[in-house]
Amino acid sequence: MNGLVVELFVLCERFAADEQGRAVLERVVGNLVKDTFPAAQTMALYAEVWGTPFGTPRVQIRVRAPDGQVVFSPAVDGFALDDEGVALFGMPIENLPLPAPGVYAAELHVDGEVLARRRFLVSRTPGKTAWTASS
Amino acid sequence: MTREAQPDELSVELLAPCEGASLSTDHRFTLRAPFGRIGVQTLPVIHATISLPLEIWGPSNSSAAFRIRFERPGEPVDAEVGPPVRISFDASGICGIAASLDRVLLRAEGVHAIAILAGDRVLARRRIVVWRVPEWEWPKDRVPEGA
Repeated sequence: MNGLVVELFVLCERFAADEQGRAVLERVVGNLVKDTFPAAQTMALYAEVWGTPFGTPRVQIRVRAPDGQVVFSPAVDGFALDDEGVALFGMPIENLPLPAPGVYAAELHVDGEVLARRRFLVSRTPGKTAWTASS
Repeated sequence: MTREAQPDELSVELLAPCEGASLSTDHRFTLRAPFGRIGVQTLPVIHATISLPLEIWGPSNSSAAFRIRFERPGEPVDAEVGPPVRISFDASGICGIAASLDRVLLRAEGVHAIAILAGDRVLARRRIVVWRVPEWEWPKDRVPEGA
């Protein structure tokens, strides 16, 4: 057990800070609609993790496509909890690949264990033809 | 007639108590100041509003009910549970809800929690620390420059 609990795990289009330094999470992502596939989407991830003060767990972020393939797995360096055992973590995700419609999942891993998972649905714009080509 | 979803078919994908939330015309939440901590000057105190944007996933074209539980430190966990909230799922199986807790009594410092219940099952739980802000950190009226 690593003793960590992910209290907040949000995907949004972007995050910012207000005049008092508090987070503003703009346009939470739960359901995306795309005209064509493969597609891409720029978004951001924001998390609040509770654990042992001054802890420095090895954190990994992964985003899985509907077929389970990992489409995003960035390096996370310098993740550290503060003197009260809280870490606020934000990460921009540029052009996340969306190879096909379906349910995607963003995951936060610590030492190989999935501590949080946030699903989001990607669907095709209604009325758009699902073109396929074969040779 | 839609079928009633069972608690183990429900998943809370977003539970983000915060100071304020808005919903765009395309049903996207924007969250302002998510609560990891609530600083207060005195206790007990009535906190005006906790915005509670939720996104619950369930079976397509079904309906369900959930309740919101507010947990205070040192009190029985079921001391304050709200009435059932009925929701319906469309074909996508996703339901966004802009809930709020109004006039929340905060009695003491410590770890509080907001839980989402379906039947006896806790679907999601978010902890919040309430702490008393030292007087020297209270916001002060500013004297305008040049006054």
